[in-house]
Amino acid sequence: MASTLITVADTSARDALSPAIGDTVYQIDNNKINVCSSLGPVVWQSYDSDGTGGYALDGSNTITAVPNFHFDAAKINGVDASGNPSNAASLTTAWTSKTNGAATFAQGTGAQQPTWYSSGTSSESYLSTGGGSGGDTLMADFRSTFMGPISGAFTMMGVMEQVGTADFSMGGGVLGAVTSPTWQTSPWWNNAGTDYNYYGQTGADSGAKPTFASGSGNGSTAVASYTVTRLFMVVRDSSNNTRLFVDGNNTNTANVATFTGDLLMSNMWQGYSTVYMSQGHTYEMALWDSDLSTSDKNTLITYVNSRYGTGRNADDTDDLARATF
Amino acid sequence: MKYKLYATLSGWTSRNDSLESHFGIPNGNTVCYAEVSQVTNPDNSDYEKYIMPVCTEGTWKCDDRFNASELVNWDEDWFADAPEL
Repeated sequence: MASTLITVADTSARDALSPAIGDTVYQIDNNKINVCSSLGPVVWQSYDSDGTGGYALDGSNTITAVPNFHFDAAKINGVDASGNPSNAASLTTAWTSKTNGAATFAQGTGAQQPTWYSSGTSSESYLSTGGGSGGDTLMADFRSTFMGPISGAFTMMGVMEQVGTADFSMGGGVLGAVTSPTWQTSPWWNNAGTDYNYYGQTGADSGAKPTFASGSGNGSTAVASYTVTRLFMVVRDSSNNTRLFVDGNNTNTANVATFTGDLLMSNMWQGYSTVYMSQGHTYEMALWDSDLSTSDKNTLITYVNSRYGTGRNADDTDDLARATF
Repeated sequence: MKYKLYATLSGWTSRNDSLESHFGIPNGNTVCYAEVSQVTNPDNSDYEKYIMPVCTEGTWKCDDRFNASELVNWDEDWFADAPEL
């Protein structure tokens, strides 16, 4: 007997349907199965994919590995725009992942709440964070299944932009042999132009920002500026070597950390301890408990190019295609 | 974000209380305006002063409620464990 599963592009298309109880719809943009559980009003129960078939980043770019979490500033509730704050308002609610139901806690301290803006690069939404002492952060239950601890390989991804010259980081924390505050040290933190991997841990690996491969559009400026919207990826491979990649396959080959402790997604935007917080704009952030395949990394680049435009050169004067892996 | 330094905890607390009153905090998930922290670097001239974060954007923007000349930028030298650059 032939059967057809109704397929919709996104939540808006799903909500435009007139279902009966029990109707089941596959949603392309988040790879979820939606089952109508009641009417008047219509209530959908959404179920995550088991990972088979991968994860559709945007409906057209699908990667094999499903992220532990994928926070998207355009969908604060993880589903659609209905939970977004008004433009230029503080985020007083949790930020919910598009996968696995993972979420941050709501930030209860007003001065530490990020500010939500509806339109930034390519008219996409972002969260603005103030850095320094008492800077903005969202905490998460890092003992949950999806926030950590993660031993071995992982991939952190952020589409972000630094503001000014203050500290800049995706955040997160670590466990392990430590010489400074535990789970208050992020896998990567930029401070005064230097990238620190696991600052405060044994080794405190540090190095200059990655250089961009010379090429059309890059002019004479080769060192990455972080004050334009870029794709950041912090990757620890199966040998516990951690590297920062900026706008694709651009990395400082001299800055490779070998710290082996577990990763915890404890405090978003916390660079190091509670007083070095990230100052910048965050469009989205994701975490995988694996070193993504070359194919998946390149699909991420395609997705980011599609959504935010192609990369920019170091002084933001021209386009510079993100380097593939 | 800007900052104002207070010499005493009572001064910091008084200002925090007045901001919470102005904004109607507690309000929903927001239970306080700021959390107190101190300058911890004994070599800094502002050692042990109390740091008040002053929001320059968002719902709790309040920089216009301070004397602009008293607001300062965040200073890494406030803290003893800053990286050696």
